[in-house]
Amino acid sequence: MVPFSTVAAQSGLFISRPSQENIPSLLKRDSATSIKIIGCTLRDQSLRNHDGRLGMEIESESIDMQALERLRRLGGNELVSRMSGLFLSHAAPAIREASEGLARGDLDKVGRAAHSLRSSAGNLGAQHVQDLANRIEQLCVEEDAEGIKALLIDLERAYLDAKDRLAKEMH
Amino acid sequence: MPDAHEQCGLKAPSVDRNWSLERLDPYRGGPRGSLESCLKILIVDDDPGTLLVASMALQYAGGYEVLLAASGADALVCARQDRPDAILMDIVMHDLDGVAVLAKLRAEPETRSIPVIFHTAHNSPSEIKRLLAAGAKGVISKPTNPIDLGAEVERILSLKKKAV
Repeated sequence: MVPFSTVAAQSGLFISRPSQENIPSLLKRDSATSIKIIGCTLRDQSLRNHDGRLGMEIESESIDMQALERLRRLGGNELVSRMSGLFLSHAAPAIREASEGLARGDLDKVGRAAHSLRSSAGNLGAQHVQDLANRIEQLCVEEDAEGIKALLIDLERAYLDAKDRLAKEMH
Repeated sequence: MPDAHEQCGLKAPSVDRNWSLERLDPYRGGPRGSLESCLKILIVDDDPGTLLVASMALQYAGGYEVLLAASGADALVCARQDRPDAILMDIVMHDLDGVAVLAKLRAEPETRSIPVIFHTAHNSPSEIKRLLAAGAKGVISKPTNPIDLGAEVERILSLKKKAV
């Protein structure tokens, strides 16, 4: 969670008192420009309180286009296509394996699946998938099954977002 | 399950595991010039995407003859058979982990002097300290900018580029 005060300071916005208002509504009212944090995009999310402060969740980009460009520099569109294929063929089974592991209470299995997914996502710049897989791996060490369950739902969504983004990129 | 080499489009080892590794052509005109002066490096990772990107990255950097292994067990076979000049290895793998492989390499006279660089997402200061204490020459964090991988390997191995 990134404190909104940090974002507000960077954007030049000033909020005098915390409120439950939705941040995007605040932004639209007070600023004509959207906030973009480098490497991330502000999603349309409701304000959440966190430790008594305003906060919001910043999600990483589904695909880091600079990472794809680096792959292109190495091996052209063929390499990008091949890496995308490897990621897509690996990610869905890894997510399924993590879910099955969680259902059986086998957090070692969940952790291994998350670790391998983190690697393959990282190669392709699928930042959001990578970040979520990293967090799941950490929660496995902490034995937080409930936390893992919630993140697996986000992970599935992030994977589908990355898949869509890659499909657009390849065409 | 498809072999890791097949998954990333590389030639798979023969079924009886009598290794005949795919040797990627060394990049022509790299900093070390001729084939004879290429550094033979074994890349070990059970993720086919990482194997592919790392091998392409070292080809891009130039001056490397790249060997590939998709598991800790295969890495040991390759190290004994092909005597690479260096090994770039993942840690968390399905069979033997990288630290266990390093221990076995160091236990054998033929392979104990091969420098091993770990390539891992587990890169906290305490973890890096542990890996160096286990005998690694260096640690490169994942994900790596592939454009920089060759330079990172050179830096750790303290290689000096020859004038071309």
